Order: sequence, then structure tokens, then C-alpha cells
Amino acid sequence: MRLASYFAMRFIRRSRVQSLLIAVGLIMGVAVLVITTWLVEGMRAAMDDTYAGNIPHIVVRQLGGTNRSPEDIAALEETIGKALPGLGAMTPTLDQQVVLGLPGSGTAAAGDNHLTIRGLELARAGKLYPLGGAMISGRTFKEGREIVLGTVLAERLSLEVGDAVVLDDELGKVTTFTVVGIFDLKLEEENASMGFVDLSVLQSAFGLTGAAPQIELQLEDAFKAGEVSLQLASALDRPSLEVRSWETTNEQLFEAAALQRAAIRLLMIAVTLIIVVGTVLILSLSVRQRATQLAVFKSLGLRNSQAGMVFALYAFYLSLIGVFGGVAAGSGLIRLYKTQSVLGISAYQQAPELNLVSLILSLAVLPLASAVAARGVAQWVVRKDPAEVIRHG
Amino acid sequence: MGNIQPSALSLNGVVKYFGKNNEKRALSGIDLSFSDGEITSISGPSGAGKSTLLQIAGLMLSPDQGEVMIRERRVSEMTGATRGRYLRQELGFVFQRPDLIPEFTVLENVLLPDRILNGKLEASNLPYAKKLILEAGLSGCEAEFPWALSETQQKTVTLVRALVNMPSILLIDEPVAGMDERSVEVVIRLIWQVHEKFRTTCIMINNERSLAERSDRVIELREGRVFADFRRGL
Repeated sequence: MRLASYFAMRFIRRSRVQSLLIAVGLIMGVAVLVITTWLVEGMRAAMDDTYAGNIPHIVVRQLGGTNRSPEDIAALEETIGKALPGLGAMTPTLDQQVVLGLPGSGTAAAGDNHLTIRGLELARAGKLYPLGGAMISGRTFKEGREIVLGTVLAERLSLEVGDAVVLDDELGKVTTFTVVGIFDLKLEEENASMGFVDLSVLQSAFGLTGAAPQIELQLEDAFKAGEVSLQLASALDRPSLEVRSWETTNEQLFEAAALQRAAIRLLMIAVTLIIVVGTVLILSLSVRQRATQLAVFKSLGLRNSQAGMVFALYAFYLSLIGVFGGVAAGSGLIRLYKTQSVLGISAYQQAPELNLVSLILSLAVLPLASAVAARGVAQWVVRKDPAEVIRHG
Repeated sequence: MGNIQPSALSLNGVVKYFGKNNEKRALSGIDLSFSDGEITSISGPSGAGKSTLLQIAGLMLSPDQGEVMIRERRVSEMTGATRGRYLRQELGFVFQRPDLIPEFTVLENVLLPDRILNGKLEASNLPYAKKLILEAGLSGCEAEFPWALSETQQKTVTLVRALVNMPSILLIDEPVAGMDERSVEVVIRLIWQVHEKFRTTCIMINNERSLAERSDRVIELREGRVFADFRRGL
């Protein structure tokens, strides 16, 4: 092994121009792969977030509107938590239709402002209800009779943080809430017709303590929701519960997202294949060009396996230079793109961080594939009669 | 010289074809036996099959028919490892054209067989290699790369490389062709010196009269067949 390594290093160091050209080619190829991976990962994350970032991936709901006690709900949540470890977010939610009015003027005086009030547990809602980041004034609700409203509604009724609003369920329950924040969810419909309050506050304010809320779940990988929902239904094993994934509730959206994901994956596979195959071919060609040296080795009695090892190491070392050099060049360029405006393109600050360790690990395939291919080429060349190879190359 | 010497190497009914469809017959049933410690010159016109014969004898080419035997062992029955061991230990081969590895210096080229034989980076024959380089008139060239040497010097280095493991059989294709008188003398002296010291069996292709006159045996090939074969003193 030491001797093979010595010969391999001699070939690399003594053919400086050739080695340099190969190394530069490999470094550029790997750098392209690094930058493409970074861009595609960023694009995929952004698209996943757009499609499925703020929607429940799985909804568990009671069929037939049967009432359930809060203890039942807690037990159900515990079962779900055990069945699906590593959940992104989980919250029970309950909706109530109300008419919103202003104190003193009566609900009708304010106009027919029909509103859906959603009760939820904000602390556990995570990205399902990213209200914290959507507040344009005030803050999110806490446990008291506090409500947050959308910008469109607030503007229409000239509401500000600190104002009181009257919510009437038109079944005899009228409750006053304080507006503690105004949100902008970037969806006009929700900004005009939704209000959010704490779940327990909603239940006590409108006498809904026994009403069965639905449980909304968000997974780490939204695209496994179909498979996970079946798994969950089987784990829950209750015919009175319906478990639905966004694959069925938002079929068109899911299909569009899945299609884009598949397109991105194909793009990455194509880029990776081109670079891996290109690297392997360049190094194999370089070994083939050394057919005469291989024949000399054989004429001096070097075993086929040893000759194969010399050139496997030759390809391995060169592609290792390519991997480390390419990762360094690629991550350097990424840092530049993230911080500076380059060629008129403004800095892409929101792009994800590159996971260098996992990238290098996944790129380990490159030196290994190159070494295997170079060894194969060397052993194919060395099987020929050395006199023929020395004479004809 | 009249005693029957044991055979170092023999070719029995060796046939070799060339060409895409084996349309050209390079050797037609060669039967030759080379005795231990004998120096043989093989001559003949161009295309007579001299180089092919030498390459088959040196295990560089495989015959299409017939058998090569080294010290009474059939080469066709040898495993790849055994053939490799013969190439490393018993045989020294010098091609007509210098075949030095361009990425290695003269000393590194000369030490290649030694390193391959021992499988180690550390050369066991370094003093002997340096002595051979000195005797070959290549002193001061150890650190040079092959491209910095003349073709004669390169050819001399390939001869030195073939000698470094002290092989028992030395096969040389045109050792002095195209060399000036002084270089011819150096090469001849080197070959005879090694031959006398180690009783090396030496088979060389040679059309130089001076070298043929000093050989123990002269074989002439024509059209792939043995045309003449005589031993000096018989």
C-alpha cells in the first residue's frame, strides 16, 4: 500500500500540468455541485414552506360532532405524541362563528361583520399558526379575554390595539374581548374574517367546554403525511375519529408541490450524475493514457492487483483534492453570495446554511467511484501483453 | 563449452500470429533451448520474428501455440503470481525502445524492479544500483529525468534497470543498435561483466557483427523459422 501510494504520488507530482488541469476541472465541478445543492435546497425549503409551511399536514377530528371531555382530548394528544415521535407541531383548534361589534353601538350597528374565531394553543402551534411573526402591531393573545384580528378587518372597523370588541354567537352568548394585536398573514381572506384567541378562553366564553376540537398536526416532512396518517389511524384504532392528511384535503396543492419536488430532485440527480460521471471519465482517461507505464510495471513483475491499486490511489488522491478544493471554493462563493451583491444580483441572505459535514460525506462517493473506475481501467490495460502496449500504447 | 548444460529457457513448437484476423504468421513452430550461462545472439532480417521470439521468451507476449518453459517449468501452467515472481526474480528484459517511466528519475527507474520485488518503498539494492549506474557511465545522471537523457543513455538505463535484481536470464532487444562506439563498448562490458559474475543466461537480438562474434551461440531467423543455429567452438 505504501509503495502503491508512493508511485501514485509520483505520477501526480511529476505530471504537474496534467494533475493541475485535472484538479482544477474537478474543483470546478464539485464547486458547481455545492452551489447547485445550496440553491436547490434553499429553493426546495422555500417552496415547501410556501406550499405546506402554515397548513396542518394531518387533521384528527371527531366524527358526528360527539362531545369529548378535556381529559379525553389530553389522552388523545398523548396517544398521537407517542405514535408520532418528532412531530413538528400539534394543537387542538376549535372554531366559533360570531358577529363582531363595538361596545355601546351593538353588533348590528357595526354592520354584518361575520367572523370566525379560532381557539388554539399558541405555545404548541409552532409554524401552524405563526402569529408571533405576523403581528404588525401589538402582541399575540394570552390567557385572558384577548383577541388578535387581521389587518383588513381592523382597518375596516378602524380598530387599534387596546380597543374592545363585542362577539355575539347569535345564540345568546355575547362576550367582550380586548384587541391585543393586529396580524397580517398575507392572505386577504384570513386578514378580513379570522380572529384568534386562546382555546380554553374560547371554550369558556361561548360555553364550548365539551365541544370536541380537531387536532392539527404538522410533520417534519409534509410529504410523508399520507403514509403517516394511515399509520396514525391504525395506531389510534377508533372508528369515531377521522384522520386526514393534506394529500386528501388539499389534493391539488399537494400534487403541485409533489411535482415541483420531483422536478428538483431530478435536477439534482442529473447534476450529480453529470459531475460524478465526468470525474470518473476524466480520471479513467488519465489512467488509460498511462498504459505504457502500466505495461512497464507489468514487465517488471508488478501484480495486476498492485498496478490496479497504484492507479486507484492516483484517482482517489486527485478526486480528494477535487472534493476538498471544490467544497472550499463552493462554500466561499456561497458566503460571498450571502453577504455581497454579485454581478448586480443582491445578496441572498435568507438562503439556508450549507451543511458542510453532510455535504463532504455525500461527496465521498466521488473519490470512491473514481478509485474503483481507475482500478478497473488499470486492470483492463494491464491484462494485455506488455510488449503490445509498449509498442502500440 | 562442450558439456551439456541444463536448459534455462526453452521454446517448444512456438507459433505466433499477428493482425486483426491472425492473418500474419510471425513465428512458425520454433523449437529452441537456451542453456544456463550461455550468451546467444539472434539475428535475421527485419520482420523475421526476432523481437516476437524474445518477447515470448521473456513472458511479455503469449504464444498462440506451443510452450515456453523456464527451468523445466511450463509457463502456461504457472499462475499469474508465479509468472510475476519469475518476471521479478529470474528474468531481466530490455525492449528495443527505451521504456523508462517519464515521471521517475534515473535512480527511481533503476530501483523499480527492486521495489516491486520486495514490495517495499525502501530499496534493498541501492548500493548495487548506484554501482551499476556508475559502471554504465551514467554517473551524475541519477537525479535526471529520462527526457533529459539521450536515447543511448536511456537505453543504457533500461539495461541497468534489468540488471538490478541480478536476474538469471537476461533478454535484450538490440542492445547496441544506433549507439556510438564508446557506448557500445560500455554496454558490452556491462553485459559480460554481469554474465561472468552471475553466470547469467543472456539472449539478445543483435545484428552487430562484433557482438555476435563474442557470443557463445548465434541463431539466425528468417520468416519466423530458425534458419541457422550454431555454437562457437563446435
